[in-house]
Parts: sequence; structure tokens; C-alpha cells
Amino acid sequence: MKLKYIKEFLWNFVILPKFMTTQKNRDNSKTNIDSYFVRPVQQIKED
Amino acid sequence: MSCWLLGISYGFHDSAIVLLHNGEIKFAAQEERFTRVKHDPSFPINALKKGLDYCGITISAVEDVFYYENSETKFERICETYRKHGFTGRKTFFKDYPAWKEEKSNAKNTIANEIKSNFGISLPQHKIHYVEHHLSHAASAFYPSPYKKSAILCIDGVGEWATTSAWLGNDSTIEPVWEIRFPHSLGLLYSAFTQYCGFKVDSGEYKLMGLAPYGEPKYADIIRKRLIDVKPDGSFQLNMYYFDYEVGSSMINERFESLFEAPARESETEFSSRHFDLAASVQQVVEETVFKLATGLQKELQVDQLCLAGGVALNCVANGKLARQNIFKDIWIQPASGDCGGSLGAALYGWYENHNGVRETDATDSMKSALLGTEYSSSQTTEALTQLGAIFTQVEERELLALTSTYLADGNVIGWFQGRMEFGPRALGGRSILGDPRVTDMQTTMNLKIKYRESFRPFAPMVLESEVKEWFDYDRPSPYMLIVADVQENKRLAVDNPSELTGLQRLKQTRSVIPAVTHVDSSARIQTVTNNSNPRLHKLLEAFHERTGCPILINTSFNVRGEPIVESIENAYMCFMRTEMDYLVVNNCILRKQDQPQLSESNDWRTEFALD
Repeated sequence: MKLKYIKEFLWNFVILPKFMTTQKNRDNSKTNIDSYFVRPVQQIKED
Repeated sequence: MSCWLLGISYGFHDSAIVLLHNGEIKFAAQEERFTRVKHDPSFPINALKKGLDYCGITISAVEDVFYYENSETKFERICETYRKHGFTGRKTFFKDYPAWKEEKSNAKNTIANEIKSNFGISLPQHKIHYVEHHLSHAASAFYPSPYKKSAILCIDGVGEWATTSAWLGNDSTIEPVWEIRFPHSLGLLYSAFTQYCGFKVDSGEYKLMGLAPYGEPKYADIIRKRLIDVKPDGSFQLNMYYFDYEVGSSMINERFESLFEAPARESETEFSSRHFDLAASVQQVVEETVFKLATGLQKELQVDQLCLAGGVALNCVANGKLARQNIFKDIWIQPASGDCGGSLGAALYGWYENHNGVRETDATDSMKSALLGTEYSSSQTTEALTQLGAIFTQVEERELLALTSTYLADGNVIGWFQGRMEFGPRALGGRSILGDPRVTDMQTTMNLKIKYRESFRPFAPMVLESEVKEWFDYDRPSPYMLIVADVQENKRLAVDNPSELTGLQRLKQTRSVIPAVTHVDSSARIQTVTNNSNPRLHKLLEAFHERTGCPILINTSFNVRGEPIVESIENAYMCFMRTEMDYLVVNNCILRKQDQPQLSESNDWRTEFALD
């Protein structure tokens, strides 16, 4: 069980993300310089 | 038509169930009351069984089940956060991730399995629905409110992605306006300071709020400059450089400690003025942010009413100031604002959205004074007390009220166990400990000899609604003890040499004619009582008023530190016997401490409940 998760951790969460150039960033920090709000219309575009 | 719906919250803290019948709240209770584990996150099977019994139905009568968040989306957020942090995430990955992958990410499966194993009924998965976490909070705030149209503001730690969200409630619909997403969270900022000041996260936040009036907001500028950037519209972003909660095992990191030039306070150690000042500082920043959010929302939506929910809505100091600022003409706050109330919101959303329920509003809300839990009949009461070997007297209501008000006026502390149990974190007169607020040392006595908790913690007053403005700087109903207001000037007393005493020494100063419920900043967390909201409690307050000229009683939850509020007569009797309470009033039965047989216990009961 532990080995399974070690593999999963290294592959999915450490190695693969380094090659994922299109990774969706759900962090709202860069959405708008005047406001940190995320609006529904923006959500639909993201999804 | 008869339609029963079940709302469930579990998995993180404060698990609970709600049963709705044709949209009416019939039963609501937290699991902790039955398991006696405070903030119990486990599947609320005991609450569910009690609820079904109370409503006289079986699980087969339930048409649909609504879970208070989307566990799959939440799992996505957890995975994305680990991806963002890469190797750094190893610290918590192996502890947390397997449980999420195997079980927590599919709440529908868990619910179906629990129902199958406990009731032998296979519930098809299409009858189990997810309602987004913040939508559940929004629904719990808007649908039971007395408003036809209202802005809704939800502020908590985090759900799936949202940490703060705004909605517009109109009749039976709720539309999203905006949200702020994880990791930027006002609730988690407050929790970070809760941990830094030595209290438990998701539990001790209200203690931090109680500590704030002892200090000065000396660190507010550092918080504004280094920890949180708040825009004029109230939207905000945290500087994650100082926090560890994304994939760490702590809320804060060593950089946070360096910023405030000291390590975090160890639990149960002495407080210093720094802790008071830190509490005052974060409280001030959170209040400013909430006011900006509310102001921006009012400008944007142009509505007169605001509904609040989410854990931050339990910050009654901020609520009181928000109400008095009149940004909105009126505000209504869900009394079960934390995650337990998510079960209510999920079920109500299911009723209006999935079952096309028709919403009718009234001048009062539909929360039934939050008295939504279990109750015990007269025969169950006498039977339970007899089995416990208790010595009691059974009396008629008139005599009960006369005796209780006399005992209170004589300075006795009374356990008050009446009717249905409250839903949510507050005791509102169903499972309460009562005392006379005029007695100078009552706060210390009740904290140290009854509740066995920290001496700085204030007690709250319950007051006849008709008398509230005579005694407090507040003139509206506050039935759920979610508003803090100042004691009226003419009820305050001059304090000798106010600048000489600092910190906890200020507890020794008598500041008003009701010192036991007057906090060091002369404020009080008010519960207003009417004949409609709780007839027997109203009569007791009237009797006490008539006897003493004071329409106020101390109301604190019926428990000791670390213990969930009592649920059953046995819980109440044990709490009564283990503490220095003088009388216990259970429905129509009165018990005097001196008359009771000695309680013999093999273990020290103080080890039974983990300190909160």
C-alpha cells in the first residue's frame, strides 16, 4: 500500500507537474489586479 | 404529498443531520451530542437514528439525501494543491492522501454504505446529491431567514475551492455573485492566529475572539502589510510565504513566528500582553475586511438585507459592529453557521431546487429558535431520574418558575434542561447553565468551579427582548446570541484607576450593575428572549425581573470544558453532580445538590473530555 502511494506521489505530484504546461491554476491571485474576486462568468470560461 | 429529505454533513468537524418534511425543519442535531466527542467528524449515524425516531419515520421514507459539499471537487483541489507544491507536500501526503483516495473523495459511496449497514436499505446513488459547500452555507442563511430578497455572504475556512462567497437570494432561488478561493481565506487567517496563541484550530477561534478586548491592536499594521492584501472592494489575498496550511501539518511556519518575534504559545501556558494584542489585531483586521466586503456587496446588489453564514459568521463581535454600521438595513445570521449548518443548507437547497418547493417568508425566521433536537417527555424524565438514583421534586410550572427565580436571585447556579435541544454551537435555553448576572464574582465562580475553563472567558446574558435597549446599546432582536453590543452607559459603573490594571487583572474590575456578563470592554454577547421564541424561558426571565428588577440571566452552555453540550437527562445529571452547580431543573423536576446521593466514579471524569 505504502509503495503504491510513494509511486503515485512521485509520478503524479512531483514528476508529471513539471511537464504540465497547461496546468489549470485555480488560485485566484492573478485574476484581476484591482480585485481578487472570481466571478461566475469567469468560472464558466475556466471550466 | 409527503416528502422527507435528509441533509448530512460529516467528515471534517461538527457532523450533523437535518430532516425536512415538505420543506419544514423537523429535526436537526450534531453527532457530538450523542457520541460525547466534541466537534465529532464521524458519520452522524446516532443523530440520524434519533432523528428518524423523533419524526416517527424509517429511512425508507426519505426521498433524497443531500450532502453538504462536493467531495470529488474537494479532492481535485487537494490534488491540485499537492501538484503545485511537488516534493514539499511529502510531509502530509502519506498521512492524508490515502484516506481521501480510498474513501473521503466519494461521499456518496460512504453514505450509501452507512445506510446499508445500519438500516439494511440499499439507497441508489442517484438519490444522494452533492450541494457545494458554500452554496450549502448560503442556503442555510437565506432560506430560513425572514427575507424575500437578500444578499448572502459566506465566510469560512474552505470548502471545495471557495473560502468567501457572495450570493443573491431571491424568493426560492440563490444565484452566485463572486467568490474568493483557497488558499486565500479569512477563516484560515483567523485560525492561524488561533494556533499561534495556543488554542486548537477549528475549536478555539471563539476563545481568541474573547481574548481580543484585553489587548490593543498593536500588530494590525504588520498583518495588513505582510499577511493580507485587502482591496477596496473587500476582496483579499494572503501572503502564503507565512502560512503552512496548504500542504503542511501546521497553520503557520517559522517565518510567521519570526514576523511576530516569538514562537507560538504552548497550550495551557500563561498569557502575556502579546497574546492579547495579537488577538485584538487579527480581530480588527478581520472586522475591517468583513465591513469592506459587506459595503461592496450592498453597492453591487442594492438590496436592504444581508444573510450571513460560515464559521466567521460566529464572530459575534464583528457581527454586532456590522449590524450597527447600518450598511444593510437588517442582517440575519444562521445560528448553526459552522459546518453542522451545512447539512441544513444542503437539505433546504434540495427542497427548493430539486423538489421545486415554494418559499413563504414570515416576520420571524423558520429556525424555531434553533430548538430542533431531541426532547424528553415528563414520564421519560421521572423514569430517567429514578434510574439514576436522583432525589427530585416534581412541581407545576408556576411553582417551578417561582422556585427557580428565587434560587437564582439567591446567587445559586442552576442547570436548566428544558424541551428540545439546540442545533448549533450555542445553548439558548434548552440545555443551559443559568446564574444571576448581578453577582460580582459569578464569572470567576462559574468559569473555575462549574465550567472548569479559563478565567478570562466571558459569559453571555439572556434578556427579555422588551428590555434589551434599556440595558444594551442595541434595539433589535438577537435570538441566537450572535451579536455583541455594549452595556448601556447608565448601567455601567466608574472603574477605579482604569489604567493601573492590565490584561487579565482587568477581570477584577466591576464595570456595570451586571458584572458577570460585562466583558472588559463593557460589551456583552446578547440573546433576546420573547414569549414566542421560548415561552417557559420568557416566563422565568419575567419572574426573575419581577423579583429583582433585572430582566437578565447569565446563560452558558450546559457542559464542562471540552465536553459537548449535554443531550440526555443522564448527561445533565452527571454534569450537575461533577460540578459545583447548586440545582438542576429538568423539565418539571427540581433537584437540589445537597439532597443527592454521593456520586462514586472509579475514574477521574476530568480525563473523559479532551481540553478544547
